[in-house]
Amino acid sequence: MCILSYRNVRTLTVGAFLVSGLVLAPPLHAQTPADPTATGVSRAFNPALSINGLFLSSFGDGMAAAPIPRAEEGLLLQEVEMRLTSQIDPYSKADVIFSYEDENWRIEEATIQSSILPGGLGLRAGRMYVPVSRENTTHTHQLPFIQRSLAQTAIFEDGWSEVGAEVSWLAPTSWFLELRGGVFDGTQEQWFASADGKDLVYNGGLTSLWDLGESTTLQIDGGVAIGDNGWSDDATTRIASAGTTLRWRPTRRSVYKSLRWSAEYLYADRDLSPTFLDPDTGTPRSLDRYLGGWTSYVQYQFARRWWVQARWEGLDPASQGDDTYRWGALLAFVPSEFQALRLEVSRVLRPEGIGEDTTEVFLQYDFTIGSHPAHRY
Amino acid sequence: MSRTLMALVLLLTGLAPHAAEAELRVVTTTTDIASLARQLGGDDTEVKAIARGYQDPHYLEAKPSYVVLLRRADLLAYVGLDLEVGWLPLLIDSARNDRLLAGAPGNLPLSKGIRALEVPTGEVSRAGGDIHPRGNPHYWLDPRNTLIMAQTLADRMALLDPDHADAIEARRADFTHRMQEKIETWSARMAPFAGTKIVCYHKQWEYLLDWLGIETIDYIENKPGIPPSPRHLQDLRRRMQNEKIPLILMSNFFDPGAAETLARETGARLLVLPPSVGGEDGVDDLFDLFDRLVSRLAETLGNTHE
Repeated sequence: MCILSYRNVRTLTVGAFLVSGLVLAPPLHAQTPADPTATGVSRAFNPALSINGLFLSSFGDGMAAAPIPRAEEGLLLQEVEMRLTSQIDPYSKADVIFSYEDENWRIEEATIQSSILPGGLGLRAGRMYVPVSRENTTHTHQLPFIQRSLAQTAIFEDGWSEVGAEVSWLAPTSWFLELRGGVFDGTQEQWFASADGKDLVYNGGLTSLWDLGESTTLQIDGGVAIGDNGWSDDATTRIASAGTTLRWRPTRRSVYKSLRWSAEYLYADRDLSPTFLDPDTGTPRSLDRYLGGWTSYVQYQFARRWWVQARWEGLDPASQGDDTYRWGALLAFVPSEFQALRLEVSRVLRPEGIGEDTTEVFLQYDFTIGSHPAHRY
Repeated sequence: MSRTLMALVLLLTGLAPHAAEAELRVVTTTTDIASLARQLGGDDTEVKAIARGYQDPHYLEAKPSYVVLLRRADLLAYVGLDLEVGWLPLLIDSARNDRLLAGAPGNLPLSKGIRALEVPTGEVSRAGGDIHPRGNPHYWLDPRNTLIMAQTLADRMALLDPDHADAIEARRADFTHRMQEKIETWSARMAPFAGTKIVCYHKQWEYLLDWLGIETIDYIENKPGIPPSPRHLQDLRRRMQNEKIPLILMSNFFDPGAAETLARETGARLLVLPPSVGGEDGVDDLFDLFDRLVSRLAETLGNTHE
């Protein structure tokens, strides 16, 4: 009998990441407590709390079909997200994000992060969105459009999160280059089918950014995830993405104008080999599943409180012949950095035999209260 | 692999050793602190600033290229009082540099020892706009505060670079002596304008005006960080006309549209000033900055008094 079961191996792997964060940590400098009270009732050590709320109105015509679920019509509380962040001790900080959606609370992310490893290494462990694509790590209220992209929706619906650990390395280069590697539990049923919790998913990726002058940057992102899908001993699923973002924001009077162009390709390929003989035709047949698609958008801020955006995206025709396209336009009014009102119109163009073309209109209100969040670039 | 090819690879990857490594690597959030660090550190210190002098430090983005600066730094000196709260915590988290973590010697808010103005009392709420719970963070615009900043920074630089502690202290003493002399000169030049009432665009010049004894009766941004409403501008125009306000003061990173209209309608003069070192050509250090601020204010207020 094998003492090390798959479950044990997974636990040990994650545990090794955590322990390495403590063992490899260099000696710390003296820390200054915020409020050295001995009463135990001080609120000085309470986590920073911020809450984000999204309210959505959506209307449309026609019926959509899988793999693009139709947005629910009417008025709804789209999501409430509550984030708690605090330093655990001198070695690590914790970040817990709850979300309320569809009348259910769930833990969206719960991670610890150590940034005191030597050699430019960083460690993050817990439940998190798997960094297989830039969009997959973007929370709903941070999305550039109200709806997630076609490819992301077709492959993951809302997003793909797992329990796992990720090590990242900031390369000692003169520009920003971060390489990442991680291991996650493969419970995403559609692609990894790890119902018994045995199968691990291995993830890698990179982000690189160059300054093209004082006001402009070019960023590239890439990610890949590979794991067994449970169909047979050697059947695997591969998910990968590549994307680029060009940003312009003038350094002088920077709050009035900005421009962003971003594009990303994401695909998922589930290998269900070996093939089997179709009982009807007697010919070899594979149940491999491939879904992929691209998205590209432009976001232009033309005044301090106003943005316009346009998006064009499509599913790869290799995705089971479903070459669906969608265009969208969005107007945003942002009274302050703590609330926004966004109006989006999108048109989904479906191939014959797959579904009908549909037009959808969304109006979303977004607010944030609590501690001032640092904004992701 | 030939030497030429090896050199090319090193150049492309940015891994080539840096020529003449400095003893102490200092990164500052603003050009004003960078100017101070250069004065104190001389050639023994490498100093880089994140923000430009003509950039609004409230609204910088957490660009990953700033992470590259912080990764190698021995000391991060910043304004504090939550001025950089929207972007600096993310950069520190991403830099994986334990020397810069909160509480470590390499993490230095220069607000230490500064008497902050406009510290809110009672309940703090964003109904008041983008307020700073620990007080107004634009303290470097009072030259008397630069003396405190210099002492705080010099003490920390000497701690981190003990081999050059004596040189750092000598440069601090020289800076303090020169700044004190200049403060006397600038104060004397501005003395005739003490008690003048003006309007400002943003709550940004309080420390400068507190030093000069000039009173701000109101702001174009009636709530910090929130663009003015038409009704507020209408009320402000009436008040400026009634009280014969001679001057509107604003920094050069705001759109001057509303201020220009108000100046035209009330007869006040609009003065657009650089709020930081590097904010205009020729403003290369803190002495240049206060020379520019004082001379432009004195010229403009002198003309309005004629």
